Amino acid sequence: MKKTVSLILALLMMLGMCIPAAAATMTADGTQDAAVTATYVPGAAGGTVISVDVDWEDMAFTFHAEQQPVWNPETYSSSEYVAAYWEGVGTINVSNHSNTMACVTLDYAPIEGYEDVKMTFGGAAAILESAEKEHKAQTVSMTVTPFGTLPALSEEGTQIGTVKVKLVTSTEVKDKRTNENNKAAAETALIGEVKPKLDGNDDSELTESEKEILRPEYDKANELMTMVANAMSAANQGSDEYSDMELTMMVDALCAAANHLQKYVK
Amino acid sequence: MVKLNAKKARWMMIILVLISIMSISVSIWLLIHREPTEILAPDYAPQETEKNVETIPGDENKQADHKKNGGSVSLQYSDQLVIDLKTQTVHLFFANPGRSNQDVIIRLVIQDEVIVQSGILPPAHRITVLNVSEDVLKKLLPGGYNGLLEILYYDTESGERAMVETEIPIRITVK
Repeated sequence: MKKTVSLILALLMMLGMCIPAAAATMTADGTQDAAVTATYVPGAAGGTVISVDVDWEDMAFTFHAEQQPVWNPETYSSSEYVAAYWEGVGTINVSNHSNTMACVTLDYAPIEGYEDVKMTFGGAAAILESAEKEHKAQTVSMTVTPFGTLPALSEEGTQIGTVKVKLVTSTEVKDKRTNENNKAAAETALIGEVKPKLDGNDDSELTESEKEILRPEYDKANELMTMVANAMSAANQGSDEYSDMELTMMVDALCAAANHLQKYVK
Repeated sequence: MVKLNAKKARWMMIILVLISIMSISVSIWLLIHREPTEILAPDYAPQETEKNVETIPGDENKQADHKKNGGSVSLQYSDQLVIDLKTQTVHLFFANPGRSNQDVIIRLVIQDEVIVQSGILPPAHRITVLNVSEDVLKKLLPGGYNGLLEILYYDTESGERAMVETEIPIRITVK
């Protein structure tokens, strides 16, 4: 009898080993302790209140497939070859009415089956100063241009993906060294990897029209790089125009712009 | 008698080893087949308005004109929110002012998992609390999390989902 009971208990203990595998508990990023007593905080969650407008228009695009030359027996000549092209340019405007700096980055997520279509932006990242500085909303206008090939037989008006507008208004303050390293990495990506491909000094597979589409985005990223470099340089000389948090946001925006461009030139 | 006990003990050992193998197999099977809770956003706005929604007092802004293949939203939000494990609620501030011409749905995402998704938040309305299911809360511990507010837009006239979404990184305190 004792052995039977022992056997059943052993069985139960063994099966108990399975329970942790079925459960999932997220780990808090900050300090956390399962033994900490929870305290109820009623009402608002606190934090900074941000006010941002996002407007978009003309977010519908038409893909014209390439046209091969066709012989015309009437005129004894062939029609001209026409390369594939996209028609339509979308626009996204973001305005910051907040009394804090806002960083805007754009990204594109294609729907399954339409991965060959990408979107380029006339600047994948921008920094909007606090409206407090000039007592008016700061606005940035970003273009959305398709790139790549739409699969044949796609239905008219098919949704092919989503443009994600990321709004960053607060971020963890990184230490100065991390900021410097990230800035340097973004600069290397833009100048060392992207620029040669756009200038044609590289074995780039980009066509001239693709370079033309990407160049405005590179130019905006380059402007951002200059702005960040100036802000970092001023901060290093003791200027307090930008807080550590704002510098971090600016460096993050520059990294996002560099990363987005790299996706198209690799 | 001693021989018989030794034989029994050997059998017991074999059975226990077999049970161990079974338990380990079940554990591995559960780990491999564990599916994340994924909420798929509808392509057209659901008919239900969020039950915790409230009108923004004094907001008499005229709705922005509907542009072809476009949209316009004004967002007001706090970049921090609190999840209360005791009351099973999320305390936040998010407003969709009257100028917007889009209905809004909010999703709170932590570590790629949707914690809660609101119902419709029409223009000129705001939200300060959302109810969360007990099952989801079991996955959270008291402490700080980095999360995302995903904002989905649906045209107020056609109900069609917009091609544009907004992501807002936020800090979350779980208490």
